[in-house]
Amino acid sequence: MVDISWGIPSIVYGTFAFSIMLYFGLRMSLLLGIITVAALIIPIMIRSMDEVFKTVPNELMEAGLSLGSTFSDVAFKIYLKQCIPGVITAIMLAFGRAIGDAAAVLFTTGFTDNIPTSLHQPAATLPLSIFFQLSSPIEAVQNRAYASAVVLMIIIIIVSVLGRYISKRMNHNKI
Amino acid sequence: MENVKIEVENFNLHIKNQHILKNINCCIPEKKITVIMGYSGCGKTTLLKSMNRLTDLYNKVAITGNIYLNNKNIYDKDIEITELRRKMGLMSQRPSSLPMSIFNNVAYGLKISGRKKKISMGLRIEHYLKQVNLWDEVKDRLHEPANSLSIGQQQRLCLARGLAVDPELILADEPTSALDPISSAAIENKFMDLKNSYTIVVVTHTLRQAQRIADNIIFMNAGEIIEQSNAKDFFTNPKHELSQKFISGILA
Ligand SMILES: Nc1ncnc2c1ncn2[C@@H]1O[C@H](COP(=O)(O)OP(=O)(O)OP(=O)(O)O)[C@@H](O)[C@H]1O
Ligand SMILES: [Mg+2]
Repeated sequence: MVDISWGIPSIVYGTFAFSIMLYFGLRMSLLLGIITVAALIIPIMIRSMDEVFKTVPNELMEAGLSLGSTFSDVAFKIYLKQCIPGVITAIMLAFGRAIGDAAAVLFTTGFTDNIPTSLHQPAATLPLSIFFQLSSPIEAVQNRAYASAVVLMIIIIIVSVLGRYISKRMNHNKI
Repeated sequence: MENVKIEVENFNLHIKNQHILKNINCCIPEKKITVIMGYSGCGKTTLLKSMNRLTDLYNKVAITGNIYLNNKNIYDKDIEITELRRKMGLMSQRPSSLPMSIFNNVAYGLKISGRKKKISMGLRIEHYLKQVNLWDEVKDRLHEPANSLSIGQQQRLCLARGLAVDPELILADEPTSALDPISSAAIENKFMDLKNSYTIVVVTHTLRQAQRIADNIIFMNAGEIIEQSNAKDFFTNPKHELSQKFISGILA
């Protein structure tokens, strides 16, 4: 189930969410976009974190329990230490997919030239800005598209460098 | 008359359809060293894990019979499993250091036994690392990750961590399998020391080690206990044919 939902193209998520919105008579808004994108990346997170936790050797659980730790102590004090680098990687993977995704938010968040002031207004995501602004005939607007692209790239670079740094810092205790 | 710390009574353990432990009956006397020996795969580790109920983690395991710790059945419903495991102090066959520094590995054990005071922590950790003959090797690198230690060093670290929990029993599954003769001897001496205050069960493949430290021997084969007697009788006058073979086989 999780594996199948990972394979679904994001446009399918977008249109599916859109048809539900039509059914309830909802208008495009930031909130609905957030929900759709969350639905899109949750399977990615589940799958990749599951893989991370699977790599933990069984003995670690046995060692923790035989010291007299409770199950939750082993989970939070031992497993988490072991898994944090992998968990960060999983989050980054999902973040990368979410921030660059245009199709899922096309019908759900909509597009606007204004900065939204509430969750119920439509909003412009960076990929969609690039798409719409680039197709505008006015050169000044086109230039804004390039600016959006740079901003998007910078965000992605910062997040991945930061993620790498943190997971490296945490990695050295891993067994 | 010696006190019985653990009594195993008509104990059977199946995993899937395999009969792993077959009608085990044995006693572990208090403040003595009991050595379990037997060919690889005969169920020694499984027997130890049954004693602290780590076998609960296995899939498709079926258990019949009883194990008593201080005359209390550990398979009773009202037993506190974490408390039981804390008392049991099992060191597993393969050392598994926790994903933290050397210092924190031992500190983890101390914290479980409720000794959390920061001031005395360092001293206590030094004490336990000295007990297992590891202090001199690690005293300058206490805050390095435990996985940077060699297997033999990790084995001693795990023992130190286990002791730091302050258990009533020590169940050591081949505690010296990765150690050189000097470190092994240090651990053996440690056990001889500790048996004044702890009950100790050791699994070993080294016959000489058994001869040196054992008060009692339990000899297993293919999931059954073949012979259990005090060490002297076992080595000088083994009753069962298989035990005779085992002793002469290794000595030869
Ligand atoms: N989790 C498990 N699932 C299935 N079979 C198991 C499991 N654990 C142990 N066994 C089986 O139980 C038997 C006894 O294993 P055990 O680990 O107790 O042997 P051992 O006497 O400790 O051997 P060694 O001296 O090699 O450590 C073996 O045949 C093993 O294959
Ligand atoms: Mg074993």
